Amino acid sequence: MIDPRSVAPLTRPTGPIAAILVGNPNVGKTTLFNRLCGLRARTANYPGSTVEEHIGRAWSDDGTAIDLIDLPGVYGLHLRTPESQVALRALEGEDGAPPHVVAIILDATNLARNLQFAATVLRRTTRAIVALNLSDEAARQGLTIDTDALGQRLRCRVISISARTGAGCLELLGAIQQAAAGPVRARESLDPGQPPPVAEPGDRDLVEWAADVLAQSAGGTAAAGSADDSFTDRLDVAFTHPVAGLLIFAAVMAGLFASIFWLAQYPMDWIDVAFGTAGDWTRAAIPPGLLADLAAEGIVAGVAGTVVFLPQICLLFFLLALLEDCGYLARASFAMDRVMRRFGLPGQSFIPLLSSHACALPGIMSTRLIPNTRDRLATIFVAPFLSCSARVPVYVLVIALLFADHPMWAGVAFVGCYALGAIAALATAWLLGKTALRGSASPMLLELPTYRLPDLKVATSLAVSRGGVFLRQAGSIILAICIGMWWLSAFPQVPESTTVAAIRAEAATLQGVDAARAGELLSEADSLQARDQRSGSFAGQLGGLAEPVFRPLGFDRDVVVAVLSSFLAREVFVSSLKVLVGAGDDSEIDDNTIAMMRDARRADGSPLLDRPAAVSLLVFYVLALQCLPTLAVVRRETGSWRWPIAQLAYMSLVAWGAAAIAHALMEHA
Amino acid sequence: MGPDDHVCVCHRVSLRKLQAFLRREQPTVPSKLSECLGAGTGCGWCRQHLHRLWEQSQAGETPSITDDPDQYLAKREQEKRTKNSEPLALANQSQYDLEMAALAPPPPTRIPLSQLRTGERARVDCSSLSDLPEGERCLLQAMGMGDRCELKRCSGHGCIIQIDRTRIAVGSTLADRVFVERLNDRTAHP
Repeated sequence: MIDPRSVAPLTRPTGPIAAILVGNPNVGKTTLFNRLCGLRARTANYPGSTVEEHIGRAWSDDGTAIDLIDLPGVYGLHLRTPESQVALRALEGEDGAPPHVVAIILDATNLARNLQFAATVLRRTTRAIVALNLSDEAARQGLTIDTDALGQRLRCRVISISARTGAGCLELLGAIQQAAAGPVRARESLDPGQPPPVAEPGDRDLVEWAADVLAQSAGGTAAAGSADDSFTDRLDVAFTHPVAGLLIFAAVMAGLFASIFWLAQYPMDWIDVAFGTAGDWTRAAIPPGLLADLAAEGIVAGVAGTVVFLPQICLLFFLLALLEDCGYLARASFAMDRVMRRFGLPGQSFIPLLSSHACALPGIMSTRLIPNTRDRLATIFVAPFLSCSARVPVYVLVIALLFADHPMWAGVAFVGCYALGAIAALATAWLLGKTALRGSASPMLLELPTYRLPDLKVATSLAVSRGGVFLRQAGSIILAICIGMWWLSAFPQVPESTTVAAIRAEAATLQGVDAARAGELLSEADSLQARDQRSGSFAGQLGGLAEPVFRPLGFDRDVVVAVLSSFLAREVFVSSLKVLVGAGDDSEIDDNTIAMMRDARRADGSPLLDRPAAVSLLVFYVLALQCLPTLAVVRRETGSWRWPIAQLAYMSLVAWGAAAIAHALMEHA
Repeated sequence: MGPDDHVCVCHRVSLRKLQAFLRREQPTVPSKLSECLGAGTGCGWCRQHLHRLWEQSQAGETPSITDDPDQYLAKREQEKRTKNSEPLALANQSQYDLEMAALAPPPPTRIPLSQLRTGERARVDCSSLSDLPEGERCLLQAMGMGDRCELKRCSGHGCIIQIDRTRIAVGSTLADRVFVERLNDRTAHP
């Protein structure tokens, strides 16, 4: 899904019965949804917003299909958050067609608060049922709930369920089915004993009402046993401790990313091989010519460059979902809040920013953990500054060029690149707080869910749905721009120069005599031809036009062409540069490549990449936003082109400025 | 007097709330009514009526006040002005007052939530909530930080509080702006 507005209206469930699930956050709604619908669910953005809703189909006992919409968890329907407004719109039915049934999911262990929410929902619906989730846990705590008495007060059916064990879930579906066929209840007819006041959760009258209902149906709040939990207290103290908490967090994150890198490398290799084979097949299947080039180089290679990140994205979201489900992530965000706040970012933005060191895409996608829009935008804006894994080959190449004989300095330079990116990100966040996104990060206010064993099914479905979102992205806008880029670099076609023709002729004569030499000559010819094509194509002509712009950075025309060719995918730079110096057109970096780089000359005989130019190139690559998928994902997550364009302009400007300064400093040093 | 009219005018506690409280909590002493939103802990004038309501509920009757609301308010105004009100003749008036005095919280020490110590309980001062930005105020209330609600601080590093069964992490900027009154253990809920 690219633009939630352009593809609206979202396909509404077409089944005979449509029911929506509403409830407070952390009541186990998602677990219930997964239990009922399995992995068959679709994820879609709610029209006109970036709030996600999950749509799935479940079957009742007699085989009737029930379409379920899982709305985001909200604390109240009156809050000014996108989630709250989406929930309200869904309840009231935005096109005059409210859902058949509203299933209100309550946490049976925290009814005093949940009942207040239920009252506000019941006032807005005509067909509702209430499901008391976690009723097994409530029973363990010694709380008995009289569902009939509760149902009489709420004027709707109340069912005890446990989403984790599946108890009561079939009954719930049956109840939804019955409610859909049953009579419509007047919105006002609530609670014959004492109608709930027209108020929002937290209001004194509503608190009183909920306490009264609870007293009748569960024997009073005291019946729930003591709310004190010294085990949870001790864990909370440890996880949010200023020193121990941060150490635990560092250890957890190190484990998380080590396992992502380690586990993801295998599927990433497979994807690489698969797309390589697909490219070869395409070439074999389509007669040589433009169409084959387009298919193999434009489409297959372009999509491969994006899809290769899929395993990292799925794994990251799977592991994050486990951490979130067990209750740790909320504590970790709180522990990091003190650190991040100094830069105008909330604690929740730490994990997206850390993820961006692997790849900005999952980092930006995981900013959905951040509730406040301003904070989310600030985090999205600075995330691409952090050195992602696609920058590493460029760092390796240029640092090897700079410090070939000083491994220690090379190490320092490597760390320096990462530090420069992080500093730029935090400084930008601070700057944003003073300018475009004025104000400081919204104060941390976060419910800390009960510690629980994580649910693998929920985590899997989240990873699958995030992967799906990413793939749809790769299949549409990224594909289109890949084709555009391919066209720019393939046209106009540059005819073979006389030098290339001469080398090819020589190779032909040597073919039978010295096969190895002939092969060498052929690859030299290919490399030269690729170089000519690169500078003669529209992309190359643009490079020529842009050369004056990059002169303060010390780049000559060839380097500018390589930089421009990698403007939408930085990983292309290494192969572009290798083509430039005639070291083949793959992206392997070996000693030979580096030696050839060092020996490469400009037209006037000076080195292609002298020390000042290499340093400015490195600084430029640390800071520039050369990643088309990032722009597309930012567009998706922010809902407008304004942010990605501003981001591209700002980062390019910063990269250019910093690189120019670095070049000037190195020249005078 | 109708169910929505205020018996305790100072704390705006309606007859309905007191009726619900009497039905739900079945207090064994009249002074327990002060736990119903602080009824009777303001100027103290309504204590005579609170006591009568309690007596009625003990007798199995529906607690009610026969005065019409205007009459009730006028009587209050007059008796408070003259200061020599003639309280209704109640058998154990003095006992009631004594209990009330014992139960009345010590002069409330209003402190920011951030200064509450680990393990301490407190009652939220709702007037401080109204100073917060609307988004945070509504969210806090919806999370359970209602009017006059009680909370416990669970962790000293960073402010983690527990309200009923909800645990909330409150950032320091917010914890400095929400004010609470310390509760001694006697009035705190178990």
